[in-house]
Amino acid sequence: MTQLVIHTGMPLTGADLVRDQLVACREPLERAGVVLVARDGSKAWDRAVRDVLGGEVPRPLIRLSRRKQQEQSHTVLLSSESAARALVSMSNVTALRAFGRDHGLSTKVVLVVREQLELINEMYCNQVMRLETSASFASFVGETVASAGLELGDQFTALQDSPGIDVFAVPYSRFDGHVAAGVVLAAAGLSEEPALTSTMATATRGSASGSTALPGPVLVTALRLLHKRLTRLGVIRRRPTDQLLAAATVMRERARAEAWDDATFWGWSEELATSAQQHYRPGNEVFAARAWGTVWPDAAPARQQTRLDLPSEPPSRVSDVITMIHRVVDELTAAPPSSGAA
Amino acid sequence: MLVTRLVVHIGAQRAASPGLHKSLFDNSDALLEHGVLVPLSGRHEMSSRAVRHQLLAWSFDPDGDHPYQATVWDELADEAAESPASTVLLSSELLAGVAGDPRTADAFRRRLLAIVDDVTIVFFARDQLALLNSLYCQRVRSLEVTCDFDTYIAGSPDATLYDLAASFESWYTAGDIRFVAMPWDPRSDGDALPALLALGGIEMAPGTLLPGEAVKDVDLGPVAIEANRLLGSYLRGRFPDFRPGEPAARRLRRKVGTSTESWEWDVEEFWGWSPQQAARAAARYAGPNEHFARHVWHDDWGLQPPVTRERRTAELVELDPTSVNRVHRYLVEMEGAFERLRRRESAA
Repeated sequence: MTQLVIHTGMPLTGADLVRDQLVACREPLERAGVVLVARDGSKAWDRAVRDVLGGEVPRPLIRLSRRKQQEQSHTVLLSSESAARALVSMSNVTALRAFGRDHGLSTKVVLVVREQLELINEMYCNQVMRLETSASFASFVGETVASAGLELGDQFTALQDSPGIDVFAVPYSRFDGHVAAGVVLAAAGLSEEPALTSTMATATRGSASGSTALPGPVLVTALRLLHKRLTRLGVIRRRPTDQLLAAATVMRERARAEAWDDATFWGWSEELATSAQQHYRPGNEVFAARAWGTVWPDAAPARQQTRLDLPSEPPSRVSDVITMIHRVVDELTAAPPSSGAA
Repeated sequence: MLVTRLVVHIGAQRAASPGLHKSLFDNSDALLEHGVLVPLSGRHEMSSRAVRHQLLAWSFDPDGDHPYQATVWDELADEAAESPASTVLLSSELLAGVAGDPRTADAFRRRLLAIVDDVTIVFFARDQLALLNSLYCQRVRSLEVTCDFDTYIAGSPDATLYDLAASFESWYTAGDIRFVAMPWDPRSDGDALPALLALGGIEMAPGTLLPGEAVKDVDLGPVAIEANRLLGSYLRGRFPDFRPGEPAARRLRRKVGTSTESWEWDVEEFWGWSPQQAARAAARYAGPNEHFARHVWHDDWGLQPPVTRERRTAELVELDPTSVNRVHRYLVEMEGAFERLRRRESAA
């Protein structure tokens, strides 16, 4: 019996970390009968999932069929964060079910889900860190909540209800202190042993999950001010992304070198958090009841909002932030549009 | 002629002062002709066309970040003794802080009574909410304060000073010095000099005084407040030995004031009180105000605190890109101006 396992999840649920760990233990996995996508990059993994949903046989399955698959049961394991967005659609769920049926595969989906408040806070930080936004956190929350993209109850109903597909939901918090790939393998009913032998096994949640550590409030403020200045000067529109990312990196490195922050950014005020929790809780509870037959496992984080009033910061920090913004703006406005970093 | 009477205007700050100080300067000669000396001693040297006897107040704080002249009261006494005038008229809104501070009040009283026995203190009382809001704006503008309004209200001695009963009861109940006051609304009340003279018991014939020019005491807007708070903090970071009282900083204040208007930050003025905060503060001051009013002008307090006014503040990082860019250009320009002023001061 060959089975198809697709690992996916909500945004910022460690998909890159899981894939990197799986790739790092490719050989032990193969010895245990788990076949991965041949290439390491995320694009190849995403394409394999797209192939499945498009009715095409992905390369790992072709490879497997050429081997002596009758000897033992095998698993084709695909990992793609973008698969979660695709599996919201009824037509894609139907396509996945049909694929499994047509190829005689037992089909499993391991879906990593995450409590939304922490997730939105991190999404916001990532956008600010890439100089993609200078919006306030409250405004970002408003848009994110309105877009309904993170609501669990509605999002995965088609997938959870689909006969022929076994869905195993994993709370992101389960990665805490564990090897993420091992958690995914175990959720799919596979041995986690191969993952534990990986050189990547020491990397647990937060250390290599595709996003660096969360920035602090001073850095967030500095980058938002930088973004606003660059917007006013037309730089955001004219400059390629790599130059903007380089500019953000300059700021990030300065923040680290000069210890701008002693706390990480937490944008939720009590009022805003309560409102968002009330919005997401019903869907989370519906999802949890269907996925685990229990209540939603992750308590909403009770953290104090990190409000920052830049003029009240120590003067040396204020002057450093302002000077760095000046410098980066000067360098970006002086550099030719297509050349190097800020 | 021997001086027989001393009239001292002590404040409040942000109540009538800018127009009054200019009016005193413009009318010094006319007043002297009527036997009223507005002394040269104790005037702040940077106030060239206004009379502010700030050095008298600063003399009680030898270690403060301001000019200091140890002999200023003696010089005043000498000037009064040599004058043909019978009345001496002093004005410094900083003297309210000297009178209201138990550490300096007695020394101040002794200084006044050493000049003459007949002393009248004149105080223009202003609603505390508007006063503290305006004082905050002034302190931000003069680069003394970089904290936000809430922090200022929670920790500033200004908030304590304008508990009028606590600060001035010893003056208005003692009897050795006359303490007179009147409520003052800067938005509706006009020329303060005639009011000051009337309160001080100084009679002037109608038409004697030059009419006071309307000096509009405009507070900063929210964006300008943020810009100047950031400027104050930025200058302290760029120049670790920066002091708001140093000569270059004092001169920069004038440029800050001018620039603030020319940069056209805001149309509406800053208002730091939330209605809830304002209501709490108004309740705190209500009892002392009534005590003060009953004893000093024998009537109700009468000034209505604007407790329902909506908060109007800004947060730097939430400003629009144009304003953020303007704030940054402002910092650069003011930093350059400060460096030039410092060079000029050290060359002088």
